Amino acid sequence: MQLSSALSAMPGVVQASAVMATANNLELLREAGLNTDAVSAGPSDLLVVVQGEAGALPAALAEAQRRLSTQSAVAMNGRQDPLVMRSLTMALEHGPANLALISTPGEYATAEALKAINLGLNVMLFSDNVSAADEAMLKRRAQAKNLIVMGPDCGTAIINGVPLAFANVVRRGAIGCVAASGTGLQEVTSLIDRYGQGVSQAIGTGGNDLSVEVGGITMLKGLADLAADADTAVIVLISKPPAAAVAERILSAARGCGKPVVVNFLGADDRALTGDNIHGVRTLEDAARAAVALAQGKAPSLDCAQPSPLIVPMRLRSGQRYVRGLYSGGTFCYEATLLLSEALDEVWANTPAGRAHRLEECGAATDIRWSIWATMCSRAAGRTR
Amino acid sequence: MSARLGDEAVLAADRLRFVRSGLVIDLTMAQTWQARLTDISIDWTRPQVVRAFERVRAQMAAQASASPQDLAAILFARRIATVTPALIAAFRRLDAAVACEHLGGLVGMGPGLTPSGDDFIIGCLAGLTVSARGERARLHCLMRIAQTLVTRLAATTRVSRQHLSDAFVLEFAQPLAALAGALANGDEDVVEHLRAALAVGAHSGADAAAGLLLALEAWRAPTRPGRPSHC
Repeated sequence: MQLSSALSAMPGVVQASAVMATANNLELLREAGLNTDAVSAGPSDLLVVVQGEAGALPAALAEAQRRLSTQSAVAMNGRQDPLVMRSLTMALEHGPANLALISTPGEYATAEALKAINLGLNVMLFSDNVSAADEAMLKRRAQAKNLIVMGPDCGTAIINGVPLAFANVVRRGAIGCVAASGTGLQEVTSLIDRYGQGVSQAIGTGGNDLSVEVGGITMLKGLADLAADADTAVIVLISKPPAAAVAERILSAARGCGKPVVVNFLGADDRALTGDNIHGVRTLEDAARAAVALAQGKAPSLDCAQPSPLIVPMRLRSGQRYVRGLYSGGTFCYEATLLLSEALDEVWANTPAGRAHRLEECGAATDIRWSIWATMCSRAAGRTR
Repeated sequence: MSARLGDEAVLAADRLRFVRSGLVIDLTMAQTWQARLTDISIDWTRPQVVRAFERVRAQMAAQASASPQDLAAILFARRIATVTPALIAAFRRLDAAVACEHLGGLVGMGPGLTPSGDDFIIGCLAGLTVSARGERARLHCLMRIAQTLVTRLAATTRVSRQHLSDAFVLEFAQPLAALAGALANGDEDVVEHLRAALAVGAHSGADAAAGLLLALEAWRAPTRPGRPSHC
């Protein structure tokens, strides 16, 4: 249709059509007054028919030939149409790349990621709804090729200063982060910037990476890459508590990486983590503070290990029964639940942690003082681009 | 990179590699797909089915008036407008012979590598399939239409022959099958399925959807066999 329209718009052309030369189409064109008597084409041949002034016809046919023989279409006004990349292979033919950012519905994501890995590309898999089995399969395949798969459901990363998907405007520096928490990674990188230091790389793993099934493949790869990265002096690892065997594997790798490593496994005993080059911290904020101190050549302050002053004296209004927290990030919710449950008797959450109770339905309990939902309310960690 | 008819191809490790051009098709995650429209029956007594149909019809009308048309598309649209009343009447009489006469005249007709007429026929077959509802007379008519039209395959392009051949054994492309299923179920998200169907090719999706709606409309009314006829 584009070809027909382009030819029809040429000077001296009355009408043009590009159709498959089937018997019914030839009849259709004859009925429209276009002479197709001399055509010897078959049903699988493309027939270009142009009606117009005799002088205009050679140019029109030449234009048709040119358009059919060139891959990138040039519109009649001379403007170069943007080339649409229809596959990873096609994209690679037009320029080198070593990473593919994949964002498709989950049912197609595994196939696309697999293609990327087979083409030798690292993968950032923004898509969610990828099964744990597929995630493990993709990561093992990538591991065999010394590639990394960030994700699935990885919404943020900063690689060589380039923000991928959602990322914050932070200065570059000597602190490299690997996180199984997108919001956690955004908060820590933003705070590092706020405290005056910068980020070398921010690597997302996807929230399921530290499960038994996946085994922390991406976190281990990220840790190894940051250990080998000359621009990274301090490494930060962020996650909810991993499976015990996975945690041990990661901590073992961290101990041998040759650089100071700040570990924030939310809910884990930070003091038990600490030792040698490992600095266990309780909160995301503490992780940023400790990393900044280490990057400045200082020991992390002991204050880092203390809880932030959380309790603000407050009074409920008459008739007010609840104080509710709404979080867009599961990690924020998890962290807040942990800290509040240490300080308050009645904390309920739909994702309970620490001493918090499970909140099945808001309002069902009568004496709830604090309830926390990981739902639709944003908490901006910094400027987002 | 490309593939030509007669090129040698090697299938190994889930990859199809063309020796001459080096073109590789990765089949690692490919899945065999079959439309299961024969399991679906439309029930016009359900209000949500009627609503879904009207929504799709309205959307199609708006789409048609907004779409730019080239010469071949205009000529084809005129032909369809001419045959539609007789085609609907033939479907309602379960007159496979007359239906085949009109549908056969559309094989290979219109713009596109899969000419619009072929897409329209495929849509009709999908519509008749979900409208058959297990009724013997309707199923018999549908099978006779398919068995007759299969003899006309040489009149169209190679690519289209494959699509038509699949439709003649009641297998349909995913977007069309999904749209037919959503209409038959009266799904709330039927317009989303329509959009997905319309996104197929420059004309193909719209032509197939038009055929689908026509066939659904035709067998929405009770069918009454006329005089016996033979294709």
